[in-house]
Amino acid sequence: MSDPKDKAHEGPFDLERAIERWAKALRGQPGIEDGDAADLEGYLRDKVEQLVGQGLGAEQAFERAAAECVSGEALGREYARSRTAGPSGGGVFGRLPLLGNYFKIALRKIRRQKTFSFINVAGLAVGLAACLLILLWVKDELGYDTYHEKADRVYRLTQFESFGGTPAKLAVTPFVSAPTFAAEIPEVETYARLLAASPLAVVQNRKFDLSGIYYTDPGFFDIFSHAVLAGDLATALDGPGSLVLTRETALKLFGRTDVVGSTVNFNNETDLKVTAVIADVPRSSHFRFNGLASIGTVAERPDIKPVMEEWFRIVGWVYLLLKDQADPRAVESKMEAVVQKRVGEELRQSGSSMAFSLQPLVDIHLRSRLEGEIAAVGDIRYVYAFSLIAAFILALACVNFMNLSTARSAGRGKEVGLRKVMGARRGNLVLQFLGESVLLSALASVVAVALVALVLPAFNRLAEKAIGPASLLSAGSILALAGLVLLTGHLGGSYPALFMSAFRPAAVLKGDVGRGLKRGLFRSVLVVFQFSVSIVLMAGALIVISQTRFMKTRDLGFDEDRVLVINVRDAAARRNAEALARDLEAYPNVAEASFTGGVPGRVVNSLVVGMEGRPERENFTVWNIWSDYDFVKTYGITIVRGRDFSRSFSSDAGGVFLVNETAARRMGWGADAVGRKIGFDADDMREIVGVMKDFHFQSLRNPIAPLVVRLSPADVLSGRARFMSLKLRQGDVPATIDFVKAKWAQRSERGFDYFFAGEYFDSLYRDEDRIGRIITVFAVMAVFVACLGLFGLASYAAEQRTKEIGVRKVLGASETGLAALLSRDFLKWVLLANLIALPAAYFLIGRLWLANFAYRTSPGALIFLGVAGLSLAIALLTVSWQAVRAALANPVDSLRYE
Amino acid sequence: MVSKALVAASTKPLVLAILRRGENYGYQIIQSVRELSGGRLEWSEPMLYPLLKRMERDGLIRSEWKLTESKRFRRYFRLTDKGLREQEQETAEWSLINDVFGKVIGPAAIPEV
Repeated sequence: MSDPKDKAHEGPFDLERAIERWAKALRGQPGIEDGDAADLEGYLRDKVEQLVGQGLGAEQAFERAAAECVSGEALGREYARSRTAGPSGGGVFGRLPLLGNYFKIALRKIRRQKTFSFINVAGLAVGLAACLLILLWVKDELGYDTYHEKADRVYRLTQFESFGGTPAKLAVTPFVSAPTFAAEIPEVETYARLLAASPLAVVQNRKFDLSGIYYTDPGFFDIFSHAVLAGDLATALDGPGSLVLTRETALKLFGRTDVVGSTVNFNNETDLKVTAVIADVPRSSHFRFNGLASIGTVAERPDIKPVMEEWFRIVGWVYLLLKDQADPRAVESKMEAVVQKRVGEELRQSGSSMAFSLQPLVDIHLRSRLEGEIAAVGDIRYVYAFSLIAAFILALACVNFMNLSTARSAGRGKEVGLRKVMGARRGNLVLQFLGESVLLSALASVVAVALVALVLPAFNRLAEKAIGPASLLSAGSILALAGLVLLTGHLGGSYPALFMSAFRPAAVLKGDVGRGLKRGLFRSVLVVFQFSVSIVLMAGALIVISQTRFMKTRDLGFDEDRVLVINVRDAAARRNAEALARDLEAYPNVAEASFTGGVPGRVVNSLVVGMEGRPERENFTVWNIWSDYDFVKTYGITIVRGRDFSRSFSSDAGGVFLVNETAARRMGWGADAVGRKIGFDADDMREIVGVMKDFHFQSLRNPIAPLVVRLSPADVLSGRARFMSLKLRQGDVPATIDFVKAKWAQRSERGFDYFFAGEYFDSLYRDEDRIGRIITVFAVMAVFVACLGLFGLASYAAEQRTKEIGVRKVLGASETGLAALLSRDFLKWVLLANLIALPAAYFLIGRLWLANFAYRTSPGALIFLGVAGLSLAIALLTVSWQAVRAALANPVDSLRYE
Repeated sequence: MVSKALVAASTKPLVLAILRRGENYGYQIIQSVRELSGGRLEWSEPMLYPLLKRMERDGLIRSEWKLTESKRFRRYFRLTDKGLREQEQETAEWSLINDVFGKVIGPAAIPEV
């Protein structure tokens, strides 16, 4: 403090001025704030006041008081200390200067340890990316149909029926139920029935093959929310002859979308007027359509009318909108009462049952496993399984993080020790290390987002999705990501943070940490965990892939090679089918031609069959193929008893049956089914002329079901058959297809739509194919993350043992021996991981998942040995890189490295 | 003189105890301590004011500028509820230690410091 006395002597003493000068000088001191100065000024004044009271003069009193005050510098120091440090100098602000230091140290660590930082960030980024991808996929799967405004009130009518003891759960229901329920159950607000059609559309003499057209009720747009581009949806489906097109279809037919009022002709029969154009159906709808026509257009047609009125004819889907607050369970019991009133008697007589239930709209995509789904559905179990995989991969990445950070912590022991000596408390250190790992994981998340954006198109192809990059930027995704960053940051940083902050400074500063770390049991456990997860995923991927291969390559029991199947979609072609078949058979490369209602892989007709001389209650449901004479020959099916259909038996012409072995068994006749009579109608029983060896006509997921093939006269067939199958001879297949196509064009107005029997069968396994591919990708990612971790640990171990290796080398250890020494430790743990993971994989995928398939591969020892070998090889490769490098190092260098 | 460590440890409890008698200001607190100790405890303002400031931040005391008879402002401090509780606890602790001393050394043996 400057001495106020000098100035006080310049004139007559002025106490106020003297104090002011004194205070001003005080305020100039660092660490003293205005408030502090005011306090001290008050103190000085109190002191002066007291001294004056004791009889001193103002000047004397001031001089003594000022002299007794401690120097300003000392005061400043005291104040500064009270603001920054000490137990009660708390609050965030007290720590701010340290935070800066933490940040600096963190950045310095990242810069100095490039390999380690790279491994850490890359591992975490890949893990996060995998996790994000899966989350996007899960979100997409869970988001089906949620965009409909009334989604919570919309239900699909489903049916649980049992005719002749064959229970079935159906997504399709009789059309008559909808208006009946709406009329008799007050909670039902409106309904929409869907009848699928693939008409030939004619617009200004140009022809288009349309598919995904549904005839439906006016209530459709009350139930489902669709964006309208033109027209009025409230009336768009009223009356017969109304047509609503999606944007895509409008563009296809007209090349523009303002086509309300235009006319489209269906099948050269019916003119429809376009009443509205709507946006394309979102991919997140459980079914997609290209156009909707009013159901009134076809309701009165003689072939459709019975379908609209009968309780036992099922052709399409029914959706109901319930009133607000309606209880679906109550509606279901009312539906039961209605069914009993209408058809209860009939059901009782035939020993059958039929019950309706309401399936929430949003459950259809993931929680529906019914026969006759309107489109392919997903499976909630895959959503769960993939979420679990995401969690595991994330855990894997976190483990890396923990492992590497802990391993590296030895190098930071001195820092920790010093911080502790300087007064850092455990909390500070925990905060610092958690902060560092959150920083790293934030960095990783940025890389992860970039990675996801990069691979999203490929992932979409793989998973058959259309997830836009925009969904990455949605608020939900960003929140999820931020959550993941914090979570991984904390999970990944917690062990090192707690572990390191517990170091005893004295021990650390003496260089004592390394020893505890080398044992690193905890790290080994984590390595085992990582590899276990990777191995389960690898084994899982291999089992899924081998099951898919199994299904694709298994002998289906018929000859699927070179069987070309044409979709016969128009009535004219159906009427001419027999003639066309003979035409085509004339071509040398076509061996056989058969016109049928179903083909293996696409048998859609199931009927209740009765047996002559047996009571009606023994009737049961069989799959049926309406056929001409040539089905068995075309598909190379083996007849085990009796004979094939034959034109040389005039008795065949009226209609006879072939049954498969399963059906013969089910009928209770087994070997002597031939000669017995069966029929779909008690008045029309026909003879079984032969028994076919069982063949797969459905996915291998299902066991072979009873199947009958009914030889039908041409006039019956023309109404029921849908497929023309051609058995081609070896030779120029493309030329044959060209020939068939040309012949086809003469007989049909519809486009030439064909597939090969084998190809189509394979497409039944698209789900498994896709799942197999997705799991493979994630297995690879998991392995990559695990290897990065192992690589980091191996390099750390090699570094720690540099001196040991040098000494061993000098003493004559071979390089191979040293490399083996360094690798052995890690391989031991990977081996242990195999012992844990392989049984788990065997149980989870080899048992639980495969149980979904009636025909399944048995995951052989080869798969498991292969995975074990692969994991060891990958681990060895990862570790040996470091081991060899360390072993090859010049011992002189390694011994001098300090 | 009392040792530095003991002075440091006892400052806060003493301030709390003094303020328990009623509101007071810095200069007077120092005076009180000197008087009560018979001049053997000599506090300095750089010790006291930062401490008061810290105690106020910790919510133990509250301050208020008041006009004095000599027409100037002086800052008065008084205990908050939290300060009161703290004071009671501190007193209990100090008397415990005092008791222990008494038992160890015996009342008669306490020498003049």
